[in-house]
Order: sequence, then C-alpha cells, then structure tokens
Amino acid sequence: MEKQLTMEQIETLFSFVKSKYVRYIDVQYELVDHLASAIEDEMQRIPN
Amino acid sequence: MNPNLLRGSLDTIVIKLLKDHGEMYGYQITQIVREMTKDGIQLTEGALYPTLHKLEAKDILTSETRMIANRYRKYYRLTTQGNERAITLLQQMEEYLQQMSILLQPLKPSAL
Repeated sequence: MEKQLTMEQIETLFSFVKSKYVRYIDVQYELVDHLASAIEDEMQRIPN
Repeated sequence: MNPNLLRGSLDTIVIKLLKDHGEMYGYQITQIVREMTKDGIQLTEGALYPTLHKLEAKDILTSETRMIANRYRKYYRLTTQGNERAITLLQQMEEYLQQMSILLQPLKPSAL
C-alpha cells in the first residue's frame, strides 16, 4: 500500500512553507503538495 | 546540467510533456524528466513552478486543483492556444538542435 502523509505532517509542511515567506496561498498549497509527494516517494523507497 | 542551458529550454520541456501526457502536476513533471534523462536533468521547484505559473498567465496552460491525499494538487494541461504554440515551439527547437549539432561537430582536417 502506498504511504501517505498524515494531516499533521501536511500541517508541518505548511508551517515550513509559510515560514519561508511564500506569499500566495495557492503557491503554498502547490509547494506543500510537491514536498509531500517527494517525501511519500522517499518513504516508499526507504521503509521507515 | 548547466543551469544556463536549461533555463531557456524549460518552457519547451513543460509544453512537450503536457502535449504528450495530457494533464500533469508539478512533482510528476520533475519525476518524468528525471526518469527519462536517467537523472541527467533534475528540475528544481525554484525553476519549474515559476515556469508553470508564467505559462498559465500567458494562457498557454490552464490548471485545475483537486483534493488528493489530505492536500490540494494542481494539475496543468495545454490550452487550445497552447497546443498550437506547442507545434511551432517544438519545430523551432528541432531546427535549433539541428543547427547546434552542425556547429558543435569536431573540426575536420581539410582534404589534401
């Protein structure tokens, strides 16, 4: 089964992206998706 | 990969991939490029997303946001205008590559 990030982990990514002063909310959403997808891929490759 | 070389080609890469695959999201684009070039080209978020946003502003691309796995994901596709532009752009790139290929050939000794 493919690993997915939890709501909590997504929230953490949001805080990170906001802290980098990414101004527009839709760009924030896009970056969060990018980061989350990359992390999920890594999680697939390296179990825990 | 020289970032200066890549910079001018990003539009073409994005347009070609969307022409071939229909609808894609940013991370997916970086993955396909990485796979196809066997890690030869690794697109960064800092380069890709501004390109996607610029092309959308120019009405070459359109986007749709969907909820996927606890978050929002933005999918891009070519507009009708974008599709037409794709044909011209890919033709131009092919001509450019042909001409560069000629210029980059090793200097041959002149026939005696």
